[in-house]
Amino acid sequence: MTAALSPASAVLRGPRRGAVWVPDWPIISASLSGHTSLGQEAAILTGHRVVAASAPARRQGVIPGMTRRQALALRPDLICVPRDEEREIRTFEPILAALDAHIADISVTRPGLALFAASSPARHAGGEAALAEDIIGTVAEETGAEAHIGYCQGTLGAILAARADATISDAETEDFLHSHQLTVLRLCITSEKQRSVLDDFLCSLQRLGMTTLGDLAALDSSLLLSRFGTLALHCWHLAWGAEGTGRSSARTEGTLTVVREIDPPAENSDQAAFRAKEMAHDLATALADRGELCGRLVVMARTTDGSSLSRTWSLDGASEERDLTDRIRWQLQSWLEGRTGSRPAAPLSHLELVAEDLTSVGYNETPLWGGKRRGHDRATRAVLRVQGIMGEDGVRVPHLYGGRTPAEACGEEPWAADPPQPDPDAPWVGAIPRPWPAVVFPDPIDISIRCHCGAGLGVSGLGLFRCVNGESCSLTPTSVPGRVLFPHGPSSRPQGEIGSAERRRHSALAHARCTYGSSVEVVSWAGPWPLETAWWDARRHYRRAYVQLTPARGPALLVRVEQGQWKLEGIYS
Amino acid sequence: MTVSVVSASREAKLERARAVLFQAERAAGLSASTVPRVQVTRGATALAAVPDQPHPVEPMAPGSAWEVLPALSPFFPYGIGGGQLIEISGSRSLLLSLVGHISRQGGWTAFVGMPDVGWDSAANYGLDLAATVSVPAPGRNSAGVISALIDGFDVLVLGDLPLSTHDQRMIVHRARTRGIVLMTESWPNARIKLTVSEHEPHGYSAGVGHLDSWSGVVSARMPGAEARRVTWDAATVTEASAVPRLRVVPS
Repeated sequence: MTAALSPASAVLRGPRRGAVWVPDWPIISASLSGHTSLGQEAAILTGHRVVAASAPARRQGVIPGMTRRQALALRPDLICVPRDEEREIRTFEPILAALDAHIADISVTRPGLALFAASSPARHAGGEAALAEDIIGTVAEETGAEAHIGYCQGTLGAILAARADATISDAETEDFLHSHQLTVLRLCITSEKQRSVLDDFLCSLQRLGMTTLGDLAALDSSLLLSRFGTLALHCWHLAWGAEGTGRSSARTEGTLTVVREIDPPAENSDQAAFRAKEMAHDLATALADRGELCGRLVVMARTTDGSSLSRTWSLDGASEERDLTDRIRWQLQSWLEGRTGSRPAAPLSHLELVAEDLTSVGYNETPLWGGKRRGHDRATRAVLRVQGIMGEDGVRVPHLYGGRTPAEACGEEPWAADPPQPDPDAPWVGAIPRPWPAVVFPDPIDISIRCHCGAGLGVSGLGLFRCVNGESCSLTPTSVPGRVLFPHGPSSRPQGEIGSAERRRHSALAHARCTYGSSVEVVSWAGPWPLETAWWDARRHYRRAYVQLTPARGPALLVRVEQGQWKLEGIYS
Repeated sequence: MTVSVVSASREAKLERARAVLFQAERAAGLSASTVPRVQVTRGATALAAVPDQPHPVEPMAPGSAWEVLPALSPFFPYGIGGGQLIEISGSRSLLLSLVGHISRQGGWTAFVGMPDVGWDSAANYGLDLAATVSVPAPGRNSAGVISALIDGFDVLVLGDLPLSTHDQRMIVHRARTRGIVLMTESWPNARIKLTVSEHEPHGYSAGVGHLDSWSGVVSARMPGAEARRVTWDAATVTEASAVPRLRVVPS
């Protein structure tokens, strides 16, 4: 099985992951909470079916999947413990806390199995093997349980590697994964519902004669998706060593996640709104329990056709349930009503909320004299709604950065972004004299300026006007430059994205032509002022000359010339 | 003694009731010909009687007017009222100086569809950039964006936007109900329309000096307001003296 079979495999590959696996966690959990002890024959049951059995019981033939009656027939003194997932999670928590000492970013797939991004912690611990040793030691100290660690690319690979106590290098990943049986996909499944769907899927594949992950990976993903749905695509990704997306809960330092599978999938915003409220309630409760506010909320959704949507909201500490509900609802509405321009082709089947940038409540106090607080809150709500329509970058706040020219000295940053450190009052030597124009084009448009003899006009290195005709032209330092010509733009609007530089230049040109017509005579001028900046830094370096022009009609212009090309930077209207 | 207090408070109540009625009529679009003769500018606590004179423009509903710079006050004798739609063509500086002065009084401002605002100039005219947002390219979501912003901002500055007549009517109506000032560079049938013409830059001549101010003739399409020449410099706008200044500043 080679990568050539899937052109996307290189892109799909997840990051290098490590998995911490504690075998038989339901049994260990039951023994930790006193229902049984490790040496006893015990089984964990949901209803009448065995879901896990202790090692001594397994030796006697009690295997998961048996009915209670069968198990008791084999071992009449078997200890039967009803399954309690909450207990399992609760008892797993100390292990996670212990792992936090070694790993910053750890996510729980299910109690007994946790995944983490391996590269940085391994570097910190001095290699993957050293990290594994540290973790095994810590877990044993904390709980007496035996942890297994494995490293591989992607979720499934890491889980499988942990079961084999192996470290799989990136090059071996594909062969390692593809040699496994299809049934290992069950390891990545967290909910009972998904499990039954997966079993059906695996059953179909088996009937089609496929037995290994390699067989599954060789299939065309789009065909797989159209035939078997989202779960099949998920499995295909896993088989290629990609990141699994079916995490049910993440316990990462500094984030909090709420996940829901939506069944039936939400097709309209009303259905979505209902879910939003429910999930926001869960998230807000969790945040309140931890006494924290979240700075950013990531709303992620997957559609039944496998595409995924994601948007991060900056909350600025507004972690009230209502705030969360509103944002999620707005976001879902925007997606489902297709207002963002990327309308999902299929209903939403999976929703995920991640609260990031958590800060303790104590650190987010409103200022004592918040003069603008009320207006700010009101404006913030409005802006959040607009962000729901336009996306987070659609709403911008102007900032003054400081600089020598109007176009470079100010700009706009997305709302709630950290503003750059402004220094508008620094001594900007050689800056264009103030006042600056009220119309400043962020993407200056190309214009041409003609000498009165009709030839092109430039500016010499000495900062004097220079006609391209040279000696034959009668241009003197005190004679008027001539005419400004505004080119004909394309007759129709450019096709680019709304707000793109091309569209902005088009509207700027329209603005200029509307004010001045296609050409206008120059009556007076100031300058030219040569300006050269930062010759040591290619990105900031430019060599220009700026000129203020009085046209025969209309307001004064600020133009610049750089490498022979004149540009209109602003209008003093 | 007691009686007079009661009657005074009754009068005040009546006044307030009239004001509320007036506001409601305005909001509903029933143009009130019987305007209450009171005017309150934001921040002032007392009701000031307006001298009995013919009204060149419609006075504001009480408690909703923003002050205007003295040089421009002839065009807005009652201040800029919430719900007004003002079209300003020919001069971005006039627009920014009006908006900037409102911002100085604590108003929150949103610019929609204006990618080419000189923020440095705007800040010098008083615009508080921390209380300003800009949606430079709302595109086909314009109507939705504007109605969302109307709920949260005091002044909306609208640029060139693809709005249908229906959208425009809806926006004007919502702004009137909410008491939001709308300023635009082009709007069909705006009731208050200021046009600036005869632009004249000052401060340089034939390559010597630099632009230090510029002036223009502001004319309003409204009764009783005569066209006048005003001058903008870096920080403010003043009424121009009869003779346009022609000053040479050595560079």
